[in-house]
Amino acid sequence: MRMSFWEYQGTAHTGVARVASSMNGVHAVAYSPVGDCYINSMFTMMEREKRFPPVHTSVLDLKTMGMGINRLPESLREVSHDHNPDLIVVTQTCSSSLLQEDYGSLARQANIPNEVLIYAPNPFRVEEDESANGLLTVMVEQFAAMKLPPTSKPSVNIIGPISLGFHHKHDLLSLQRMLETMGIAVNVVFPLGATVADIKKLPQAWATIAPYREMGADAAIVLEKMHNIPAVTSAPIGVVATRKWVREVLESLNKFASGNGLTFDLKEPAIAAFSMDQKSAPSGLPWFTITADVQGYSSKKAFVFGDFTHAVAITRMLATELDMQIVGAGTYNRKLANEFRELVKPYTDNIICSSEFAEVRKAIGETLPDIVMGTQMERHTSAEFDIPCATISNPTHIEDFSLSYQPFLGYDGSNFITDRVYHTCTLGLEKHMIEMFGDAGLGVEEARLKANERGKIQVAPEPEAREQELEAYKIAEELRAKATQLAVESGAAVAVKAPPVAAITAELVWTDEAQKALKQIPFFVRPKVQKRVEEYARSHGYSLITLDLVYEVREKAQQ
Amino acid sequence: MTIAPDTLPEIPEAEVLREDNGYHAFCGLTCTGWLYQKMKDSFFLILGTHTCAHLMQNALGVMIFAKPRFGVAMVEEGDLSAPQIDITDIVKNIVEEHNPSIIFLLNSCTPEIMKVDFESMARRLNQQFNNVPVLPVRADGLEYTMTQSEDCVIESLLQFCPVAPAGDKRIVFMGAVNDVNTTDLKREAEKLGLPVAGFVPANTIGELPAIGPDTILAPLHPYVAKSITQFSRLRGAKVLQSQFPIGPDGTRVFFEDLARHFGKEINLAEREAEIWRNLESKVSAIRGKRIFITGDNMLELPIARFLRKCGAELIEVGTPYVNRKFHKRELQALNGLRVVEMPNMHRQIRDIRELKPDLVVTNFWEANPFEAEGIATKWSTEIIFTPIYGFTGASDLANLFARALNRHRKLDVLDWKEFLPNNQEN
Repeated sequence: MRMSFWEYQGTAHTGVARVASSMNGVHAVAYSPVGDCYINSMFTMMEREKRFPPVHTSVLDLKTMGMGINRLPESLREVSHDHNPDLIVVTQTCSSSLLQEDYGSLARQANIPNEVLIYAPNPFRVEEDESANGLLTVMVEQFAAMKLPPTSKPSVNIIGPISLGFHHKHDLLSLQRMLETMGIAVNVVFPLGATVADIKKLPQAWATIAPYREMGADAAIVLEKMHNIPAVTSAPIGVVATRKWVREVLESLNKFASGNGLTFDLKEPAIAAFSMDQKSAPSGLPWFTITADVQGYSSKKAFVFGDFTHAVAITRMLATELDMQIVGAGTYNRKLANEFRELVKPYTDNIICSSEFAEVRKAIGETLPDIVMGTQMERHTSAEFDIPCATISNPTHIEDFSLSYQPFLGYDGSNFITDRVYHTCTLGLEKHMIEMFGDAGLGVEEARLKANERGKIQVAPEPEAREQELEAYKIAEELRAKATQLAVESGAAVAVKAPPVAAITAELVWTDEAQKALKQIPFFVRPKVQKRVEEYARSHGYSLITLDLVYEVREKAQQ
Repeated sequence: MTIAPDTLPEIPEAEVLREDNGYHAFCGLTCTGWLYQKMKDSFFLILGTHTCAHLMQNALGVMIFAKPRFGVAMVEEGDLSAPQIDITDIVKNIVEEHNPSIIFLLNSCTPEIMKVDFESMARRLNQQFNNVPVLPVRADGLEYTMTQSEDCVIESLLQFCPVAPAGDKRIVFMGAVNDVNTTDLKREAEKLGLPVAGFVPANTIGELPAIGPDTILAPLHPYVAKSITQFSRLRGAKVLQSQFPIGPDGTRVFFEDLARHFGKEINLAEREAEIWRNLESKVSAIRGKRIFITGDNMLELPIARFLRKCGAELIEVGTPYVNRKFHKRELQALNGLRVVEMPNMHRQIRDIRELKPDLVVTNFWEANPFEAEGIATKWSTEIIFTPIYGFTGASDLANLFARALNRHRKLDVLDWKEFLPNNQEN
């Protein structure tokens, strides 16, 4: 029993849903109370998924429980009828797992032609990533057992990109760009966009790329064991790691070729070949770090937290390539803790493997870094301590599913990450100026914005501000009148819309009641509403703003 | 339930079809999302699992502050075999950290299946923390959908409402609505000479109104049936049976019926007409449109009634639950329409694809996929978080639907159809 305000991951069925939602012709059926279907909204809202999520809730409710009815067979028939998928994955959630249903026999009762896979890990033990990762492994074991002859040209599988993965779609694009430069074809991407038939094709690749340790690496290793297809499980994040990865991929392919009597010798392409224009350095990071203002980064302290892959790679990249001091590094993938410690030990002594955000918060509070690279939760924590923060890992907000190309992997990724770090940190030179000469009023503005961001109540303008506003209003009115006059005189085709004749009298006074009503309006629209009410009052010749007047304006709904 | 002396005319009602509960909706826990904000001195403690915690942070996009006034006492694997679930330390922490006036203890599916004796757990905690009441609230998804649990929360508040003496004839509005709406409804009632005692829930426990035999309980929305019946049974209060004050039409009926309880015959026809005149630009966007409501938040009946008044054609009105007695007046206004209780979502999707409505009012996970198929949508959840009540709320209400419809109308001139999903390969 513990108190939870917030979790880094969802539960096992979220992982299953993510796999199904990534694929084509695969449907998940979760035997659960109706509310557990909330995960579907993550696909359609966060990632703006175009399809109805292929995740069906087989509703467990009090009525059916009382009657001893299980709807699962009926749900399977419904899914079979509506979607006719190649594969249905049956899973459970916390509450339904307690009922210890025999899913195998229930699935047989459904009597449907579709293949059914029961994948119901213990939701009290297995979290989202582990569950999805486990399902990928099971699918490989089950559907990729048949040996196939290798493709005639060098090709690789990419295992790991998944629905709701952190920048995964962009990562995939970055990998594909690099592979194309290297003259390597992509055999299968799994699970994103894959079908069951695609899984069956996995054994014909020369190597498997699985950049995410917590998502898909195990499936790649299983494939290696089954068919001797080398698995490349390092993450090409940062320039050094990317270059190493390129060589590792080439080596694996050459090794596979010689082991299978294929005459192929792939060479590392020239560095410029990886760039967008084929002429320049594919990553601007090496030059960027030695430019004058970035040299100051060597004194900056960074704190890194996230999933295993991103936390390890960003720690290494910040420490070695951007020359920052790592004051803390951690991951919420607790089951990979030992491996994590081993990998980040060279960069920091302060290692946190925990799924309790409060622990991470405490560590940030104690180290007070200059920059935090973390999840959505560390963003909240950092705002509290007033430390700049960039997201480098799930869980994240909707804005991390960007329209523009923002990969983390590869040379393209190194540029994006560097930009993200740079935009997050206080600028080098500007910071020196501020330290020397004060903030020239910038700080005031910033503080005001920050206060707004944090949902602090904005105070209504003071009387003198209101006077200024009135003054500004007068001036605006005069200008508009002038413009209209000019337009009329010059016979302009477009006449400026005549303003309402405002009865600008003395200052407006708000009654206490009306002020209270104004305070009930959410802070972020309050100034707009205030302005609207005051304009209305002026144009109707009121000098006293009453509660009734506030609602009269609302009623008139002048949007 | 004591029904007011006003004799209800026998008006035909919409027939309600009942389906198989295959709908998708959030569970009762989600009411925490708005109720903890409404009741500023409360703490909502959910006895649940990791899934419940994940739901709370995802479903409503609830912002996490340093110290949110809600949390999940998480049942972990070890607790499943423990002789008794003990949350004393957790409650102790909440009391020390937050100092709430009241703690709502919400159940969830897992403890429900474990047969945790919730009431006695709350009783024990009340003995230990005798200065902070701990109230058990049923909110599990085995039985309750998102808004229904508000009813359970309100029900538990009666003990904090002072007893009003006989002869204290004032109105108590029931249902959580935001302060912009409460101020407005109170103002509107007082303008009509109808005395208001207050609102349940109120912003703080101390502000809860007195309720007694002459109180008139006025429900603001369709999901307070259980609590209003309880209040009326235990305190002898009268229950207003009317339409809900949603839309100019419903608001007018609501206040006219309310006035009758005070022996006043008022006619708000002109007031209603004025509001409709103000709304004309929005109503014209809705008029003649074919609208399908899939149903998940229980506001569907009054919303459908309002849309029908706007001149829309309602193809189907789905709703999780209909209480024929409590929703009588709304059902009368919907006579002739297809109202489906506990609709099957999959059947609805099939129907919507075939019927191609101009607008589908639906949940978070169906909205974008329908849009991808070229069908305009409006999120149902947005309706819950919009101050739509009363005469002044009507503009926000109309806006919700007009905006969605207008947006699609305006797209036609941009000539970019090829960019949209239903014209794309994948």
